[in-house]
Amino acid sequence: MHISDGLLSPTILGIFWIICIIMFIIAYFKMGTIFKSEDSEKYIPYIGVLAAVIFAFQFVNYPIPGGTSGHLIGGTLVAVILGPWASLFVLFLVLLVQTTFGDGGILALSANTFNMGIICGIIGFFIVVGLKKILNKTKMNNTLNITLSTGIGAYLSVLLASAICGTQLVLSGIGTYDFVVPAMVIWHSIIGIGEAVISALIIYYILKTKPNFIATQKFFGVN
Amino acid sequence: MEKLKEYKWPLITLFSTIIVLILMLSIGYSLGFLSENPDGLERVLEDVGHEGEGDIWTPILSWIENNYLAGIIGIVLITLIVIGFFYLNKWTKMRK
Repeated sequence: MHISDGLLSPTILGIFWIICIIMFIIAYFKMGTIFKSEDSEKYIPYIGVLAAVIFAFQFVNYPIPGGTSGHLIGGTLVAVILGPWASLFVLFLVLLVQTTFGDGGILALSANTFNMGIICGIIGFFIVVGLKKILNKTKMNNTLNITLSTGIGAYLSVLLASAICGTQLVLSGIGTYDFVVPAMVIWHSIIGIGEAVISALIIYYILKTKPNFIATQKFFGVN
Repeated sequence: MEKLKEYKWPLITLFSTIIVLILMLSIGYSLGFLSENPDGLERVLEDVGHEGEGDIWTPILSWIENNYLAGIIGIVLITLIVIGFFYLNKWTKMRK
């Protein structure tokens, strides 16, 4: 879903740069919760590890039937682990490094950050929180509840991001809305399955082995 | 030395994860099971008949043609940048 330079119109790019800068300022002041404790410095190398994992997984394209391929975006996954605001910076930095390899454009970084950082990260996180509240009404245990919510949230966030990505292209004069947006959503509805499964498995593994690493414990009731 | 002991597990995790990721990429590219097919967006652009985009800038690391090498450099680079960013963030917030 990495948009290259030259695809989006200057107006669209400008709008998304403004949105991203506003979100960066909000995120900078909001993400303080993960640094509240005295020993929180210890978690910073783990954040580096998480970013490396996201970078590597975005590098790995798995084949999808029908002549396309998919890779993990990881926005919802990072947001569930670190919180929505810190995830925005992690995703932005991952996308920034990828642009230096030619994967996604430097000018289109705003649109890519919006789609993968804000939609998959921040919006994806709140979808997961909402789903967890709904699943709390069932008899499912908390670990399974968070795992399932993350999987479904990751899937829905990819669909939403693909629809917005398609809309950005159409507004920039590439194709028609009737074709581009449904095509983006249809392909990503298949690709998103991989995203959902990988995200859910990683969250399940962390919850079982190192639940303290989940910085969003207050949202999910992790002990 | 005390500081190093305190950071033992984060550092072990950091290095072991980097090694595992590098191995994963190297095996993937060596055996060729990683797909070269276009991703969802590229596929839609192909279907819509888009003729590619113009060169606005040359990505500074695009000279690395080997995927495996690019993966290693990228993993190390992103780890350092993210750790640096969050340490800086912690440091500036502690000063206040």
